[in-house]
Amino acid sequence: MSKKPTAGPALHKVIMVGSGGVGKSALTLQFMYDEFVEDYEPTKADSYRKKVVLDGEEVQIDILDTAGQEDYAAIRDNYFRSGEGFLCVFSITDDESFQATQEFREQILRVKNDESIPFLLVGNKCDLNDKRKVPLNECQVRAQQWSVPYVETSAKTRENVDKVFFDLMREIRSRKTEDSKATSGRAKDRCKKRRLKCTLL
Amino acid sequence: MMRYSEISRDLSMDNLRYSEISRKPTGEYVGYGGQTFVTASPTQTRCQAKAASPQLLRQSKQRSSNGNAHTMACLRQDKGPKELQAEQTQAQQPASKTLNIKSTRRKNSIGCLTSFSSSPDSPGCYYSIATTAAPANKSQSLPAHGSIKQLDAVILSALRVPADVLANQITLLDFPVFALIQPDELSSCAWTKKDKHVVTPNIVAFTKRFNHTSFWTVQEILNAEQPKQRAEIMTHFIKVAKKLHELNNLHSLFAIISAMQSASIYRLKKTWACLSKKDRQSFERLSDIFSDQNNWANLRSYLESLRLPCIPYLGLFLTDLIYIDLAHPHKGGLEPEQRRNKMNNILRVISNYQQSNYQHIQPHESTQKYLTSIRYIEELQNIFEEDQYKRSLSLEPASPSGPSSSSCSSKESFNVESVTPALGCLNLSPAKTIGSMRMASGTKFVPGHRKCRSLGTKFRSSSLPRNFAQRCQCCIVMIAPGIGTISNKRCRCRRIFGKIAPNNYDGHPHHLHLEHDLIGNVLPRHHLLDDSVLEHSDALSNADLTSLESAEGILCDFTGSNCDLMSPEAAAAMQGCLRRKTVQKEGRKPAVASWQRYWVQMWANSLVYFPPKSFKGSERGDFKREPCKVCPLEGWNAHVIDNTKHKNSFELYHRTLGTVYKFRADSPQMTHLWTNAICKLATTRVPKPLPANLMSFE
Repeated sequence: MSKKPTAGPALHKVIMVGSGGVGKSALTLQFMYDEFVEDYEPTKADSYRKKVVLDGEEVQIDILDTAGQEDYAAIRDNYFRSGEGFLCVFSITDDESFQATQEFREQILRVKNDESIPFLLVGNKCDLNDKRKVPLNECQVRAQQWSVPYVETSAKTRENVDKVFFDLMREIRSRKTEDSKATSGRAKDRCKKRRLKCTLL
Repeated sequence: MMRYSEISRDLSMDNLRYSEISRKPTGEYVGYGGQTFVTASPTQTRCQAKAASPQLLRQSKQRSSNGNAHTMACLRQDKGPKELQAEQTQAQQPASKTLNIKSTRRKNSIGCLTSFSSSPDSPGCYYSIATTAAPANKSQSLPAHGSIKQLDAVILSALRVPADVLANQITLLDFPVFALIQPDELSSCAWTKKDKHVVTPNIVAFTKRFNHTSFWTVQEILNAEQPKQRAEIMTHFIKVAKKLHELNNLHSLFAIISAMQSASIYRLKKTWACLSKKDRQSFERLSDIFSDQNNWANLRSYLESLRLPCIPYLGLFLTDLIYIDLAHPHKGGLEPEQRRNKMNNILRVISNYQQSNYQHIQPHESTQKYLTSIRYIEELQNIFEEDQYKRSLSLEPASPSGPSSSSCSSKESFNVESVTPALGCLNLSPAKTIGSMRMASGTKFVPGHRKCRSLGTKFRSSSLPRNFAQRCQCCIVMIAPGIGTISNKRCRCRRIFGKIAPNNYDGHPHHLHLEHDLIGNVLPRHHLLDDSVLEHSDALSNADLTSLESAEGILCDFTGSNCDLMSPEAAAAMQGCLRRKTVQKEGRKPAVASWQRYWVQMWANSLVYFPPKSFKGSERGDFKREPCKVCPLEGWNAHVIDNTKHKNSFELYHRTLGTVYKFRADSPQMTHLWTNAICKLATTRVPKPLPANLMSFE
């Protein structure tokens, strides 16, 4: 389970999921470094952590992206467990990657045991609309079924890159405030039983 | 250790003993989850029917080896003599029947997950007819513990090998694979791409070892029935992990840690509670190394502190390389300096690790044999995981708000609608017209499917959801080219389902006259209106399981005269969800045989397989649009398996190749229709020798 930061700005832990080559890491890098990619150093502890201002409030985002480790299937459960919100990325030019989102979603729900976990379905590479293989409405239908937002992004043109991360952080934040209300300030791990808790109270 | 190898020689003896055990009558099995119809008696009957005692022995041998097969990928190679193997293939079928006994038994205890196993997990369980009778699905590929346990005591358990020996031998197996990884593979960043097997074969192999070890760990833990036993195995694996830690084999250490943190193991609260505090602490200490916090800071600093020999966790470097590749792309011409430097740093580090020397460890042949005999097929990872999760749920059922319910319902809500977009895309299908039909039923299906499923179990008492028959009809989608045949087929469907839902078919007279016959037992009944010969619908009207079983027992080879019940056109348009298992391929027993779910469609004279999209579901929409295999039917034949345990299964076998597949449909009707259709198509054409049987995983 992820730790709640004791001091400083709230930390929102975001997990990037999706098949290999859909541009998860490109989205992450775009969001983290924008054009200052030269500063990027892969091994630094805070390479994927960033302070941002979310609706006037300073927060920290911590992005876990295991790009390149997609085939290490066995490790997924554990890092999903630590996530507070998920960006489920596929490439609109690759139907297989879209189909794979289904499995990721299922796996996340299984591990998190929470249907309403903050989650965004992200169709990346929307700059390549002429090579689109996944029809827009199919994506929207799927997002609707999951009751999650669907956003198309382009890591290349930076379209909607900030939006997906900020939207997700908003969801995580509102989720956290809800939780702390519901459980009188602590017991973070009770989020699963949130609804049950309410009825009890 | 000597003991370990000796034991394998004793295998046949043990099998003998085991055959004794399994022949113990009914009582032993009854009540194991309250399933009365699952008893040892059918096996026994069968054995007796076969009468000859050598055969009995053969069967029992087979049974045990099949037990192995059912550890999913955990299959051990047969240690017995070759001739035994030959016998096994002969006796394959009865053996799998007996196995089924066990798996059904287990399934029952999982409750809804299992009793509806055949299609029920999705809203699309159109022909959930007789699901109660239908034992099961792929989760069968999990160890049928009854038999496994017997064998485990002999050769199959990791517990039989001391932890440090395991760790040593795992390391000896890991290192050569790691050492083979070439700098070019690493700098290509191609290990997640489609051509990874060509460009980065060694990285792929090394990753596979990781998943393999992890899979094995989970499987071993789940093999035990009781929390205490599982805790014992876990303790053993924690010991292995500690030893791997001493050996600086972070690769397999992480694999084992991941296994313990996987959804299937992590949730086993009772098991974790049985662990000693000390072991739990060791586990936590070890898992802390692999915390993803702060960009894997612990792992990075730990790696730096290590001296050779060491096998690192490669995934960390793989991610770093991907990011370097992205941050400093190589756009032709000279490689950017930053890219080169950063990449080279990592390559240097890895090549340094490759200089490790583990020669101080003595190879231990039998342990290595044991470790390498665990079969793991990467392509089936998802299915394995799902199986393990089901097994985990059955061992320690979830609380009502448990994980299964959440993931289930989400999946259902998906399936329901996802059918719609996927429908138009049945590329290979000559029957695109069926789209609308299924779509309609798909949506109609939504609200009641869960209930329907639960009703489905009771349906022999004729409580059926209102639109049940419609669904049935839709699912038997047999659309033939000509209009005439369509109506013909509709009749067929109605005949089959008419009895159970007579009110559903407006405007068709046939529904009133469904008859129940036992095939081969009674003369064909005639339709009251048009005097046509009515389709047999065994089992449908059977009010209870026993009569169903007897009906199944009588069902026999369909290849004969019954074949002409189905017109070739009708046969040519069969499609539906089937589960398939390879029994024998080109005369040899496959290393791994588990039930695979496919959407199978007859097309021309071929069987076309569509792979599943997700773990569950038996609707067209739950399967991929692109077929994964096409199997021409020339030279093939099918017959219903007269198997009292394994309901609704039929066998597809090649006349000359020695390849046999077993299929399971969701109802006796479907089984017959399929068998029928295959026979029809196979016999209308002259069989040619050696057809191309294009088998491949995507």
